Amino acid sequence: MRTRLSKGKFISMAGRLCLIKSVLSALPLLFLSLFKMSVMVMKEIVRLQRNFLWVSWKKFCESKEDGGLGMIDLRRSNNSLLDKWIWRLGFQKTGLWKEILDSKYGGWRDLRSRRKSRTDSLWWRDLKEVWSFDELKYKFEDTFSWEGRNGREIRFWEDKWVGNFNLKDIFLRLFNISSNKDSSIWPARERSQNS
Amino acid sequence: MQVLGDQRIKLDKEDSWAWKDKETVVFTVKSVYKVLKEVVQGVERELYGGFWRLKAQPSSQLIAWRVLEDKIATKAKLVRRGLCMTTITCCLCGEEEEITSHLFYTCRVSWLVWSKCYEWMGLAGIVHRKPKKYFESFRMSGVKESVNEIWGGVWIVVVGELWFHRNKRIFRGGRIYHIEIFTLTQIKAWSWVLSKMHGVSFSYLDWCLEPLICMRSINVSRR
Repeated sequence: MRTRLSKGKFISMAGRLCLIKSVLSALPLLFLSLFKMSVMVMKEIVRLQRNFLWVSWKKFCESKEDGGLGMIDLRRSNNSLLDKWIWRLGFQKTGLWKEILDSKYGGWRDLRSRRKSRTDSLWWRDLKEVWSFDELKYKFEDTFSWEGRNGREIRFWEDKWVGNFNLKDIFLRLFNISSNKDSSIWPARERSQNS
Repeated sequence: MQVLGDQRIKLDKEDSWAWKDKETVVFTVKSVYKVLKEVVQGVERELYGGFWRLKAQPSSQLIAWRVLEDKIATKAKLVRRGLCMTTITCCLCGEEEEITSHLFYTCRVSWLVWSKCYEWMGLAGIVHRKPKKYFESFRMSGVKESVNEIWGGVWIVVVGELWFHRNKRIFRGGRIYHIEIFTLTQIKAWSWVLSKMHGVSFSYLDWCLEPLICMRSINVSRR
């Protein structure tokens, strides 16, 4: 890659842009689809990109429709690629990998609880960070809603199944006196129908 | 209980996640990427919506983008960045300071090129000082979108040619003839339309004589 970049002195700006897109941002993609990139590595790659093409960073990563050059922002793409794993963890019903993670950590809900445990694998720790991507005040939980709803999966208090909030936060006092804090909707409904 | 009142429960369906993005419906990495991006105002979108689809060579396209963003290294820009220039007058006309809006629009020579273009199309030209305004006003009204797609491409080619000729003048010397720039524009625009669009059935001569009819004859099929 080094030789190619040094030849870049004589390439037009459009050529440089194309080269960056195809080499500098495409090369790490496979790696990024499974692992979280360390900040040092990201800075290094961004430095390479920026040395090669001198444009303001904001314009660089803006989509082409919005007047930028449509470069991939590596951190964001890293996060969204890892989000795919979270999504599959929650969305898929079967799969050996999912069963293993479910039995080891208790499924995707463990990502939401910010508990850190020594037994977490590195990859699981990465996913935990990705779940609440603090930089942009983005929570993965806000991107999906619950559907289907026989109520066996959804946890009555924790999950955001009514609107865009969880009942735990709104009815804090009720939650505190509740005897069954982890209950799913199903038994809660049964009980309310019986009484 | 009021909050829960309108929540329906379907017994036959398992709980599952549903992706909120209306466009994609299912989860895609791209739609998360969009969520992660900050939202930008829609003003630029009108300008740049079709910009990159215009039919012109990529190198000119990038130069045109830099002109629109006022990011092109004119002499005035270089001086501001601390480079010692012997002269900061425009190298096309040699009269005024070389700033973006002068070099590409109000300069005597480039204006001759633009008016040649208008004349060729049979239009009356207007000039704006602001690059973005000028690009917007360049669009023709009351024609098919495909015509404007080609005509916008011509705009890009002209800007690119002006820049190339300006550089040629600086680094290799020589004189600048607006007719030469204009003719090169015609040729390049024609060749890019020819190679980038399907169903082109006119010759270069047709293109020079009746540009509007040529542009109208093409149907753009969107992929």
